[in-house]
Amino acid sequence: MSLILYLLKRLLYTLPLMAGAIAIIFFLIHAAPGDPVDYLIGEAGASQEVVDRLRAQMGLDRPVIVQFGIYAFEVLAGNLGYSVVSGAPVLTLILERFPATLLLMATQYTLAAIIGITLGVVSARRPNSATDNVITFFSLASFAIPVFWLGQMMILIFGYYLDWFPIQGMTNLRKGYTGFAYVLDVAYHLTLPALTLAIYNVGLVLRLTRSSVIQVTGQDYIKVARAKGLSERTVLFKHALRNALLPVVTVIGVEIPGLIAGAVLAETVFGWPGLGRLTLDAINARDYPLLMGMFLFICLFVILANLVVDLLYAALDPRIRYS
Amino acid sequence: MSKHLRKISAALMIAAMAMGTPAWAQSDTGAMVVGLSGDPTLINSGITTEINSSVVGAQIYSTIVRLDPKGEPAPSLAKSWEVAPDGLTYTFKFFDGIKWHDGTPFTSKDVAWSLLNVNKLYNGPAGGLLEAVQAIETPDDQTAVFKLARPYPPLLRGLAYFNSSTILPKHIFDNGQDPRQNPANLKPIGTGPFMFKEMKKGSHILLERYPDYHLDGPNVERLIFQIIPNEAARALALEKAEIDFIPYHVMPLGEVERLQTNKAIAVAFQKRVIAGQYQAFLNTREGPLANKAVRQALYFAMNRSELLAKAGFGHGKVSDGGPFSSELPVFYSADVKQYGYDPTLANRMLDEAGFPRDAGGKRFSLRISYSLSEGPMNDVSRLLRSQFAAVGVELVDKGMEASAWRDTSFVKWDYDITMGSFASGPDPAIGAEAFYTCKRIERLSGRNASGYCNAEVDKLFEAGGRELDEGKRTEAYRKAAAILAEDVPHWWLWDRYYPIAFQSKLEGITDDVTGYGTLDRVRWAQ
Repeated sequence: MSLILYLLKRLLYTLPLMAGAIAIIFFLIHAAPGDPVDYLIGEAGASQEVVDRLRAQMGLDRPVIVQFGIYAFEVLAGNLGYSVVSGAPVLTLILERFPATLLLMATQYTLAAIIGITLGVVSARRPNSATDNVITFFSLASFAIPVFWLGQMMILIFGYYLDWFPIQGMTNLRKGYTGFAYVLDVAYHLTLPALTLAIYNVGLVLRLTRSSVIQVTGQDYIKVARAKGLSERTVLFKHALRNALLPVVTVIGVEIPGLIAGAVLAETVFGWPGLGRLTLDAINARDYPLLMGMFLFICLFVILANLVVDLLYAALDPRIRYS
Repeated sequence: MSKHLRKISAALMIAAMAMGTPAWAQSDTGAMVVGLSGDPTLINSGITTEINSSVVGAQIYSTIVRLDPKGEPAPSLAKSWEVAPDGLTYTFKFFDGIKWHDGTPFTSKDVAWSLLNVNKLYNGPAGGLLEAVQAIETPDDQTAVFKLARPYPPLLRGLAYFNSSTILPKHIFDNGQDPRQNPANLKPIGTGPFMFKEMKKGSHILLERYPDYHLDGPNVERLIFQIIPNEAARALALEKAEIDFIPYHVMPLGEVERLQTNKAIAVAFQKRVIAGQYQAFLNTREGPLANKAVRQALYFAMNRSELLAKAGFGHGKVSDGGPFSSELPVFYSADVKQYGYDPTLANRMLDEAGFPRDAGGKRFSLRISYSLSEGPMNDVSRLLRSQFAAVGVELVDKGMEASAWRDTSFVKWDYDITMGSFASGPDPAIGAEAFYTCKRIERLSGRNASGYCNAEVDKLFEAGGRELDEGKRTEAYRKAAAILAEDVPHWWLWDRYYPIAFQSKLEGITDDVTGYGTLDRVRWAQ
């Protein structure tokens, strides 16, 4: 019961947060120079008459504050509007692209978490040993390499020279597979982008796990566990890790907006048809309704992700109670 | 390949599909994959001039005429046409039995309705092209008669351009709805060689062969446009045969040299009658650039061979025809004032113009604006900064994102120098005229943003635009070019060549002269 109350309260808190975010983003993107009419007309130009008509039809001739009011009412009514560039409903555009991003993000983050936590524990076992130093070097390097560069190197090495993986896209369009062959084909195409992002994210998870586990291993209950004669593996993974994971989970949750930013780069480098590039295209075209829709969606996603993290706390540490 | 064989293969395909195996999975040559940098926002170049939209739309839709490899008008929807001697009436006769992809018969009413009710109202260049057209009469389903208010010689060739003259289906667009909201913009129904099958945003667009196409072809069963945003990856994908063709507007210039060494890849130059030039608009309203001598002096201070070699990877020719590219046939002439690299002369002219160097050796500073997404412009800006520093002029780099650049340069006129690629063709009356005449000083993209206004130039462009005699037209335009080269409202940097790359086994790619032509004749070599 208290959990449900807690959830309701949390969701209620998010409302003013969302409203504030919408307002700020709305005025910011309208303050940027250029508008969708410029984009639609392009370099070729058009007469003043055409430009005025287009602007009027999009409602861009009205004061920004009025535009905001209209938009706010539409959103409250559950209508995210239509893309001014393609005319398609914003929600459809977003939902169409979301699965690709979700697949990439979930895969890479699972990979990063598994590799990062395992290596983190291994590293923490004997701090400053040779193993630890190698892992530390690797983790710092992976954290420092820009995603777009790493991605291009992966393409060059594993796609171009070794010819192990495809270079671009999510499927082999020439073959146009269906059914199970399609699933395999997508997995094959997913390998390089997911690995790239995972390598990038491993560093953070690894470092956090390492320091967190080192801290925990000094605690009395670890000594007790060791004194009971448990194997080192059980001590580290069952007792130490479980307690050490709390800060790691927090950071993973906090990092989710950053993940979306990373996805923009990886999606561009690998031609992955996800949300990241939709956002980028919307910015370039000054597609206001689509941009607003994207930001709303990302806000919502981040808030939900953080909620899930909060719930995970309880699972990890039974002492935590929600009230 | 005979019609007969094609029918047989079509029948085989259907049989194969019925058995549950996609027929095209059997052979790779049944498909052709074209690389693009991004999604077309919609597939309807009747209402947008986006190149991606034209490149895809050209496969689905048709125009009244098309251009043959020499740039001459050839039949497309129209099998023949006649232009009255006074240049005021154009009569087009269409092929019999053309059908839209949904089976509805195509008629001359589609042409009249589409051009006047959609293209003219929503497409910038079409607005200009059809300005002189007063009415389009349709005495019968196979005939359309264009009535002009004044002679306009560029009309016929202009009708071959997909990015202005795409013919849309009246039965789908004439429903009282705003054409930009029409769902057919994302599921187009045309008369062209390929039918729209699916569009997965960010990933690909899939087209299939239209069996009832009224002209020859197409020769591939499936045409796929794959979205590859990353430039380097686009070239790698071509080398690995993931894609087959990179059109001119998405060709990564830095990769051309490497691709040329690959025997499986052919690199060619796309002929483009729009004849683009990289050029800089100069704000002639205020500051040092209001002074003609300064504009000329700085033009002399510029080492354009270096700009072309280092920023443009050598794909072009240093402009020597003033406002007309050497790629613009007929009207181009090098008989205009020339501006070779001469910093000594530039220094002297700047001294004489009343801009002496100060104690630090500096005369004045200027802002240089450009869009960061316009390929070589960033490097041009850097090179120019050092070239101009040698004559005591400081350049302040104002590279910005495309939308912001268009807004500050063409709407707000808040710039000193602003550069990009602009078309001098396909006819000066369509291309160059918009940049140099007084009536085109409008706060709009691609118009006379330099504020240059010269009554004599206006008169010459006016004469060239309505004169029917090609000799007299040429003379008027060459005179205008000479005056412009003397007055330098722009710095014309270099005439663009447009490299393209494709699998060597593909035939027929280079027949197109527009850059977004129909690929109905492209085939895999046997």
